[in-house]
Amino acid sequence: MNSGAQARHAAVDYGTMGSLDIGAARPRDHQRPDVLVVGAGFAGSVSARKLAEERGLQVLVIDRRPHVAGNAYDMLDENGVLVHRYGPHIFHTNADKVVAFLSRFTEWRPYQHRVVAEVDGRFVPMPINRRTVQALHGIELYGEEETAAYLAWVAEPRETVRTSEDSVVAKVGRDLYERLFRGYTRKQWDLDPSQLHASVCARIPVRSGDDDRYFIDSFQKMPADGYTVMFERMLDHPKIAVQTGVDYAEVEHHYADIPLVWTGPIDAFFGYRHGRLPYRSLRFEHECRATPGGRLVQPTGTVNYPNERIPYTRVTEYRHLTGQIAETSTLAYEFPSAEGDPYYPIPRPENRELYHRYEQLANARPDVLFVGRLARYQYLNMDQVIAGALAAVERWSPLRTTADTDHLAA
Amino acid sequence: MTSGGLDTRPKSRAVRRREIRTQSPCIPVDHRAVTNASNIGSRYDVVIVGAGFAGSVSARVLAEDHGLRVLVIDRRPHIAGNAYDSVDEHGVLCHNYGPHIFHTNSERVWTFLSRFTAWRPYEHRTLAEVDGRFIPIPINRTTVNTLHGLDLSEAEVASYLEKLAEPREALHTSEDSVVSKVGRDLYERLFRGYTRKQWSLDPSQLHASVCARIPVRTNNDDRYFTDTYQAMPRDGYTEMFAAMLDHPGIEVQVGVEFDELPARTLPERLVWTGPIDAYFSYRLGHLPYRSLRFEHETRRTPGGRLVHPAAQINYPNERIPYTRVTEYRHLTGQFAEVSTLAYEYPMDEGDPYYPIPRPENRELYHRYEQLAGALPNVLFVGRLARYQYLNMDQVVAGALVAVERWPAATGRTLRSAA
Repeated sequence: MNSGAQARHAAVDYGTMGSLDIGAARPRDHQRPDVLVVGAGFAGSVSARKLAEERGLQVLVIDRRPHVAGNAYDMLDENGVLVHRYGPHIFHTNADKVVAFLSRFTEWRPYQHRVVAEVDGRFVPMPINRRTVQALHGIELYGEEETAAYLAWVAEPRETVRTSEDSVVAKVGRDLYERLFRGYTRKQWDLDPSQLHASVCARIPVRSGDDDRYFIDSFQKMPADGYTVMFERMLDHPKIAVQTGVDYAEVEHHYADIPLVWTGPIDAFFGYRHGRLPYRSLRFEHECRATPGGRLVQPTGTVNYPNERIPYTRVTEYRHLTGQIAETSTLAYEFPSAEGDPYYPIPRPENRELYHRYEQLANARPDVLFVGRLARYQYLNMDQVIAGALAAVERWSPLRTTADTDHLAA
Repeated sequence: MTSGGLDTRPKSRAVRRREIRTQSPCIPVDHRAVTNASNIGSRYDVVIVGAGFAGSVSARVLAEDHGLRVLVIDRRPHIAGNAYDSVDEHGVLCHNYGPHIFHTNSERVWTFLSRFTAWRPYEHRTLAEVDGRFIPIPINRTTVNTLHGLDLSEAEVASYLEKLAEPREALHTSEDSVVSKVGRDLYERLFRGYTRKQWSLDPSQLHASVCARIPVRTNNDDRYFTDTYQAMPRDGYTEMFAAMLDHPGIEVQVGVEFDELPARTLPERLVWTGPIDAYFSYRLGHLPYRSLRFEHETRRTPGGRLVHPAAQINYPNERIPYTRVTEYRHLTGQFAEVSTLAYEYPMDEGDPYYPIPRPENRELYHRYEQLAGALPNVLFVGRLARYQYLNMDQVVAGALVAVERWPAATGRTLRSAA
């Protein structure tokens, strides 16, 4: 971030993010909303903007937290370092439509994320590439072909690839699986890879070349002034009102008759009537280092610690991501935990099944749009959430439903 | 035990290891012969409690130079004390009680031990993981340049460290001693967490001398030690001990507690290498020790490759529960298709490893020392009996000197004279 952006950040009073509020959490007749959006994260904010701008609807966005931007919320910490309050968010996408939409609300700073993993006294690139294999197996591999051939040699082909263990061992063999994947996955999910569907670890590529970028998307940039500022601009529309620090349960009765965009957990919306959908949560410990001259502490934005004996999974130095220059730097240690805010749906078949039962309830509610990671009970990257919200709102016709059928009292 | 002396035949290491494993490293004597004996006092001139460095060195000198008949006992089922090494289930030679790296400047110690082992030259190196980088420990030029993103020459590093250092009027604590040498940033990233884990005490609660032992270098020397002699017993510590104890005047009994011996029939002379407070039945209270727990992990290493870039990797970060990981094959030079790593967890409970360097503990020790001073026929020697952190060579030197100066060691006539 340039110094101008920094100054702008400093000018935002993050202690009173509720400054966007229209006042007390009570409807005012003169701007009675046409739609209520629950959740001011990506799903909610994108939906709100679309509904206000393209449908001309009066939108009220509420969020139980005291700020907008959901888990993408960033703020200055006590040392003046811009941090992502709910863990590192690195933007990347191949969707032009998503870029075009967001670019209306932010400028961009190019950022390509890189990750190294600490394994047995060495740091190796993640995802696995030629140098990872070389370092961990102490051999010289010349070029992509030789690396691919070596990986094919250490790989243990499986007849059927059911679990995440299968999918990794079949690609890179047992040694790299154990040293790079097993411990990390167990910490992240509290489940062994053999208990997780193949798709979970299959998301992580294996490269035989030297590309050490974490993502290969065509667009890899960070909002120049941070996420929160981008959200503020997205929500800055005459037909959008935002109230933070408001729980849906408190205001539900005021808006029982208007359509709803629900971005919270789907099971919460239905009062957990089929039981709770389990989530994995995260806890962050922040640590500050003096960095005279604006130096960075870590060699890469994120350092992974796959070793199961180390209680955290990774450490992110925010200034890598944000580009901010400062005399201190903040590191975020990430501890997966069972308790806390819902972060990740747990990818087990029985959970998916339970979700589908909730989804059936949702299908019977055309007046409610379920969108986002929590409402869809699915791991989604930021760009996927945005694309999903854009498409969902386009397909949604809540007004005709509410006006024509007059069934909402039911 | 081997048939005495050094086996210098060019045998493969693996074969030799297998012999160690299948043979008991000490003389197989029926325990009851000792614990039920009514004539220990007439069969032996001295009982030595503990078959580690202090006990074994004392035994050899008392038997060899003083002609005493020595009984060595150890509560553990083996000799060599904490230096005991054995082949694990994967065929890898491990130090069962954590890594022991031999180094000394003492010609005398080197000469003495060289009678019982051949050596394999070995210089220990350690890396520490700090914020996504590995840097040499002790601090040297590379450490400073890497952690502070600089490219300083030797001379520049010295003046840079002077600039970082925060001078203290008086050096009371270990925090003082480090911060006054390298400044707060390096102190916090390299010393504070490690010390807290190691001692469960903040450096500000530890005497300056504890961390002052660790040097700071401005050159590129990345050896952990700079001693004249740096080598490992070629066939392992256990074999070295077996050779040391292989003397006609020495009998060894392992798996025997001192309390099991019939007290009334013991010879008057005793060498005690256990905790001094235990000898006196803790009558003044317990001396606290820090202990260690090890978790071993085995990796496949086709072609005999090594896993770690250095023998020992330190993890100063307080959030990581272990302090360091050692790859034994670096130390032993063994060639194998697997390699064993030892994760080291400092603990409150367990075998006594480290006396805790707090003034009140030292004071309590001194009270026990006074009790010990009233017992001229009992020699207190070694890390546990002296309640002091001592390197292996210091223990050896200490035992050599202590036995030399022990009036009771002279001749076999003590009993009749007493």
